Amino acid sequence: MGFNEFVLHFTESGGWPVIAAFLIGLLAAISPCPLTTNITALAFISRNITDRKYVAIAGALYTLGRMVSYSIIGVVIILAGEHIIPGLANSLQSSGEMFLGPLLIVVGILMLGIIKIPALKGGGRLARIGEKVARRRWLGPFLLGVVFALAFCPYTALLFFAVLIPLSIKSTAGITFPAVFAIGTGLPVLIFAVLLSFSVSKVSKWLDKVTAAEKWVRRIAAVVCIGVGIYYVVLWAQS
Amino acid sequence: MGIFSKFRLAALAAVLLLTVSLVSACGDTTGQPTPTPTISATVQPTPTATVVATAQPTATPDGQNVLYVMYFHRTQRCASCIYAEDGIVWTIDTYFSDEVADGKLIFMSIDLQDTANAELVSKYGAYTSQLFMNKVTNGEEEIEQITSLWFYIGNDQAYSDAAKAEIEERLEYLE
Repeated sequence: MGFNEFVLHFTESGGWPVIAAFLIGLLAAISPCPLTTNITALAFISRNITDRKYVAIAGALYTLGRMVSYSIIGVVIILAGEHIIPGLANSLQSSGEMFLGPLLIVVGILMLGIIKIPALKGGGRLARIGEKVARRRWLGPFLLGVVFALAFCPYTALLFFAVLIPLSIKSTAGITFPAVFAIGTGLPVLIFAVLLSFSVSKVSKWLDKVTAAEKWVRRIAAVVCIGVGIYYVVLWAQS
Repeated sequence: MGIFSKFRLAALAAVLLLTVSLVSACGDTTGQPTPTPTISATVQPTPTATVVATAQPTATPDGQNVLYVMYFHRTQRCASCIYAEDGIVWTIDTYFSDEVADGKLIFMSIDLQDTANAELVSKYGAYTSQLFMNKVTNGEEEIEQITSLWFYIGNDQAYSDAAKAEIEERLEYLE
């Protein structure tokens, strides 16, 4: 039995719905559908790669950002009723498809440092969010978590709206499930970021190239952001 | 070339690999059924009988009981979404071709962002890649969303077995 099927049987058994919420989140994180956002998050969080403490806290803040987004959506649905799901899910997916690409390109360019912030003035809200994500040490990862959680890919949308929310509505502690789901979606990114940081800092210290390693990892993270951003823009243009 | 330069090269190679893997994981947005399930059963027919929604399904005119298997998707599709549809089409082609020929089972794949399908989308409450089954008995419709199949994605045999069981259960009800 694969992990997917284990999650299904565990959820259907109804024994520990809060654990089921976590497992559904984990499933959402490791499925191919949200791979692009997870890899971008991993690259972004690892930009100060040799600072393991920063990577761990940034990973936690990224997860916290996801928790905030999912919790707000969950609370709104629980309060307003399930009838709002189709409209809400549709508009979130559509705006995600439209804005995620340009936002990542802006973040990537700012991380590369080839354009100074004043050049982006007049770029509107997108540039301001991009600037905050790219420049703010602590706010950046948090905002990235908020934005990535809002940009549902189809598989994540199904797991969240069609599996998790009905589970939340049925359970007494259900209002906490979206946050628990968020921990599941953020945990693999956090773990991989810390592991990566541990390995790279060890190698770069051994080579006495800490500063150079940081510079290159930051550039790679920026290129990943821009690449994924272009990828999303192309997808949006094709649809 | 110093050791660190090699590390730098390895890092760049990793980024290239990453890009390739991204494109292969989610790159198919045209709705072409590329990752066709290679379901490990003995016979492997190619999925052919995909009916694309053009009409509004209601009870059949002659009052025959019918099961609608409705697969909704967004215009922009991910690998899992394409797999899900391919698996359903494969299962129907393999096990239910008689029911399809008799008009007892109708499969439709519907782009929910196409305004031509707005009425169907609203009727089913679809918003992402979703599978619904609609049992029409004596003119009365009973719509259910099937979420369990999504947990079998990647496991061809289990996916097909689960899809077959879901369809059989509802077809029996129609008899």
